Amino acid sequence: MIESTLVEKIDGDKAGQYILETRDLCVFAGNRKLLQDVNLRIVPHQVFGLIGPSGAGKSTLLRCLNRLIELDHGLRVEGEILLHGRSIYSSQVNVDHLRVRLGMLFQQAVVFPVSILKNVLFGVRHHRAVPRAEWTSAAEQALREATLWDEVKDRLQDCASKLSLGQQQRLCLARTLAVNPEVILMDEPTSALDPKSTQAIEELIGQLKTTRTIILVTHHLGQAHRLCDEVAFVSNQSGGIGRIACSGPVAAILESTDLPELKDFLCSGKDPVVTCCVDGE
Amino acid sequence: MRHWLDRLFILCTALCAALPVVIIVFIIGVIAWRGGGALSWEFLTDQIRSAGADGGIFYNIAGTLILLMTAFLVSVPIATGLALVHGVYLKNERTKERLWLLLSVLNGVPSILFGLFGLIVFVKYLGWGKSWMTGGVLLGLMMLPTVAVAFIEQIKSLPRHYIEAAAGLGLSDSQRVWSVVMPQCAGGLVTGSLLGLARAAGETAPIMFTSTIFAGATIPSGVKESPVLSLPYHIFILAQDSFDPAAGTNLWGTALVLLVLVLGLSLLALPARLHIHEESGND
Repeated sequence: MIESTLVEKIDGDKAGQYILETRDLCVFAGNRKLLQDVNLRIVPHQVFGLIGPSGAGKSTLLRCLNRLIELDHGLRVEGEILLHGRSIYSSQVNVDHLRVRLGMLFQQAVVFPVSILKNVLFGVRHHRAVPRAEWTSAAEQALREATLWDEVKDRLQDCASKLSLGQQQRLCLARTLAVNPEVILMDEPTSALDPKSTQAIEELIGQLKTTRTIILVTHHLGQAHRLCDEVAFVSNQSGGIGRIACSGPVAAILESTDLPELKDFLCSGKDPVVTCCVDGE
Repeated sequence: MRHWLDRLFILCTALCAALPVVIIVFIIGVIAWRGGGALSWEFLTDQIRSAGADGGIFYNIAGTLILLMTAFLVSVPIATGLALVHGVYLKNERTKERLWLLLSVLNGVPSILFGLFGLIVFVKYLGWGKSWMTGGVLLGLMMLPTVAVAFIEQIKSLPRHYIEAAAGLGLSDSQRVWSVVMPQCAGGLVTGSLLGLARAAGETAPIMFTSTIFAGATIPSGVKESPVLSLPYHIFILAQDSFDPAAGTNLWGTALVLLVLVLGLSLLALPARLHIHEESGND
């Protein structure tokens, strides 16, 4: 049986092994609670999945992790988020530097209306971490890492919007990789892509976890099954407030649980890999 | 019955659309027809003679350009800052509404009141006297709401995911402004500036007792007591005081030059605006 709440207490001895932790994280919109008591512990070099029904707060939770939620006026965060054991809400933390360390890939590919090269270098050129003379090689490395180099190497000056949607999403990933993040937050990165592009992104995620930690929000249970090492199920069945109903290794969560809301969610899935696998159905 | 009502409605809307077009074409046609005869190289390059009945309007064109350039330099930086404060930095909705209200009020202030304000503050209190600087500053203040509102509207229409993507890459507020907001919203600034300049170019009331005279001025060499000649004031004086038929022709010629100046400003900025729209359209 999977424990119904992920973390009751943080084990002090093991705290150092987690790259990212949340402790009693709550998010409010005015007086309305959106997320309640989220406790997660994520170890490095794994793909950690956040699954759950629409509106449960998965994306909100993801946006808390790099403080992008602060762009949404009226949302308030309580509780703690620790990166390498240190609070990301500490006054000593530079939020812009934090967002470099926790890069983000959005649901829709957001390419700026400039060239492919300028898109890849969009973050790099502002952070000055890479000397100007090395920008081109940095762009090449990021594009290679995103397996896009061979497709665009002869048209780096073309407008990025001329690329296909799948290529645009990989370009966004290359842009994120170019600033060398430790963690990549992915918010349903394949939901707008065709199967071939989805496969390309999934293969990339598999490769990237050897060097980085990935937190993946996905509705696609098969994708969670294929890619994630661990998953957390975000449920909103308790009065519309999102909470972590259960979490653990992906196989254990998706294949055997007696949590009714998770069972409902799994059985509503469209993916044949995991549809109605609960209780042997 | 319903079919006929639909047709009637379409006809009414078509008439509403056609009316301003007809009026504009009529105005341009009349000005071109009556002013075309006055246009010559001498008219554009000579100075005013015989109380406007002879000579040209070179210094009037130069004076108007000086006033417009000053107004542009005064209004655009202030409007840019104001729009960025409203569209990017201000988080409190109530404060934003108040700022918007202030802009609307400023936009509704009659131009003659700007003139009075300039007369009291710049001409008298600061002791600038009649000066191109006074007129430029006043015209800049007058076009400020137009430029700011156009820029704010453009910022409002900026897709939010651009800002989020830039923030997600760790760009600071100011970096997001320079790398995302300004390039994407420059079209609003260009449009607002053109509309503002077009309005400012034809204004007479704010400059008539603060910065412009009918004759006797050339290119200003200082700030204090340095009035300029201008096209709208020239038209105003010729229309009001001159009974000489030759002055009447020059009046229409001056109006045509003013019209061409305003249209020229729009055409000058057209390539930049098209380029901006093209880039935005590629998104």
